[in-house]
Amino acid sequence: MLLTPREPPTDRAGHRPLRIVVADDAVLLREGLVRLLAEDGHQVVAAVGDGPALVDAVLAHRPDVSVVDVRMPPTHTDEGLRAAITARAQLPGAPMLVLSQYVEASYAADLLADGSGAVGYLLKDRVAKVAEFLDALDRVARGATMLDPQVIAQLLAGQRRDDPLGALTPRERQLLALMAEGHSNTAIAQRLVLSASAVEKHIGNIFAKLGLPPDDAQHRRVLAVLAYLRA
Amino acid sequence: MTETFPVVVGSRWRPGTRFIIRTGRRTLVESLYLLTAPVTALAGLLLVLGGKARWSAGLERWRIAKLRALTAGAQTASPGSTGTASGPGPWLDAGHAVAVLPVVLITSVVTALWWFVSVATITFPLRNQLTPGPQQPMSLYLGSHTALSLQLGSPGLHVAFAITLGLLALFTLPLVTRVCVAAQAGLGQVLLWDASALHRRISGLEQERDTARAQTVAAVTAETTALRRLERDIHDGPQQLLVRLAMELGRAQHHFDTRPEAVREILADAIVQTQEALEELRALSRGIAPPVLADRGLREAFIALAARSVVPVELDADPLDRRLDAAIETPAYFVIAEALTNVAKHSHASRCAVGLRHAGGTLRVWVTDDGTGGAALDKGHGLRGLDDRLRAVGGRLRITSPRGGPTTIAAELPCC
Repeated sequence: MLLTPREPPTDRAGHRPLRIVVADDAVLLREGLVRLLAEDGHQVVAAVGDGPALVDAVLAHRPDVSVVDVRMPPTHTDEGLRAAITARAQLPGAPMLVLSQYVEASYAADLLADGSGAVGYLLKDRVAKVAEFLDALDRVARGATMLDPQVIAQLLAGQRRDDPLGALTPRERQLLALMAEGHSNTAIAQRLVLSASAVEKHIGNIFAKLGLPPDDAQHRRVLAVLAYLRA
Repeated sequence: MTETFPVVVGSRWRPGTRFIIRTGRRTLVESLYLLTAPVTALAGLLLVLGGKARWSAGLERWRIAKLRALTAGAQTASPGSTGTASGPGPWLDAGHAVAVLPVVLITSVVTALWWFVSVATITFPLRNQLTPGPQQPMSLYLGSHTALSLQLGSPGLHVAFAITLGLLALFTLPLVTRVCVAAQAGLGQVLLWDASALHRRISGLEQERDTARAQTVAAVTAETTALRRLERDIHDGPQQLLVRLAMELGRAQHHFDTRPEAVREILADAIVQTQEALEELRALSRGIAPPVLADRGLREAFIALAARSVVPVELDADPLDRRLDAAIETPAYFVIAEALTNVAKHSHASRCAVGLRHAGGTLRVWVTDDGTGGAALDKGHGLRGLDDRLRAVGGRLRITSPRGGPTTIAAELPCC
């Protein structure tokens, strides 16, 4: 039950070169990102500084993934997030890795709302761990859903009484949290020291308890995470 | 003794005469007021029905004021007689026009009756002589059927009785008019003056409350704006620099084994970025609570601002005799800091002057530049936020900035 790759992988150590659109209004960070990505062999097809330019660039270049800053002009609120959603509405499933100085669970829910996955939502600081960041970028490009551990922490802190996830056992919650962070079944099995079949069994239970119909596994994973976000 | 006699007599009867004259005059004026009341009350009611309650109230106010002015010698001025008060509203005016009707009916009838009895009885002997004839026994008629015979047979007794009754009526007339006026004008006083005075007081208090509320709103707005701006400044400044720094260090780590030369360069950049981030943080903390202002006061803080200004500043600030309230110092400081920033950013000025005066319970600070002018509250430039900040402490911002300049941004703050 690994994440289904969209394209045949990889011509160099786990990563294939990606065509990327970068959207950040801060020149300092935009240049830093472009340099970082270029050094890793990726091709930055467009680097833009506001929401409408992001939508245009995504539609024009159809990149493998876009790296988007949430806060951009003119409103300096969640311009980037809304532009990413707009772009995905016109080009369904276009992979978006959204970066922000702050992460909010409600923003993550907005991003995932269309249920098609290929979405990442990370704190900007994660860029510092270059290898992990590049890995996350690659996985989002392949259709994975990756949420920042801080978003997950917010959700765990704010559990409500009428929680639709109430039926899940603590172990299953733990598993779902790891799924939301974008870990594959193998990675989850390693972390929790479980066998792959045990992980699969747990995930099957989660899907059943959340009432997710037997569909393709990728889609169900996204829906499960979405249910998690909305809890 | 004989020399002092007239004086003694004078002091005895002159006040008496004066009293009689004054009372007579007062009674006449009051009677006139009371006897014309039915007409004016009716007119007032018609005015109210015609939707002109204010005119009706105005008429009665004028009549009462006139009455008081003409009888002022006979009575102490009423506290409410302050003339043309603006009415508390049409409802009280209309209420008066209606409420006064029954009162007017009684007072005017009583007054008329008293006058009639007085005049009729006093003049009885006169009329009796002019119309000689058989004397009827005098009777008092109550209604048309009941008659009380007074058993006064002789003409002499008739005259004596009439004169006694007449004098009694005449002497009680001032008392009657006084009571009637007290009732009628008192009603006017309550509804047209006291209530309106109360109303004025209420609206005065309401105004004070609105001012206080506006000050609170201004304070909250100013605070919110300042906090949002601070958040933006942190986000755009140190936070970006630190993220970039983290990114660079990440790159250094990533390339540590493979490209040591690149790492050396990256680390050099990282040090520069660290210093930039620290400088940004210093600037920000100055923007929140400038240390020099807290430590040394407004004048020293202005000197520091002038020293940092890109455009040369001429400082016109005498030493203050004492430290001012922090609630006044801080907004005054930020007016000058913001104005100097605007001078540098927008004015294209070659020089400017900063001033500070504290006199007569007012602190005045200003910045004048020789730039291109055109500054305005709604143009951004942070002036709106300054205005809010000033209004929160009862101050105000004055902007004089014609196109082509010069621009003066001044703030006045109450400060005792």
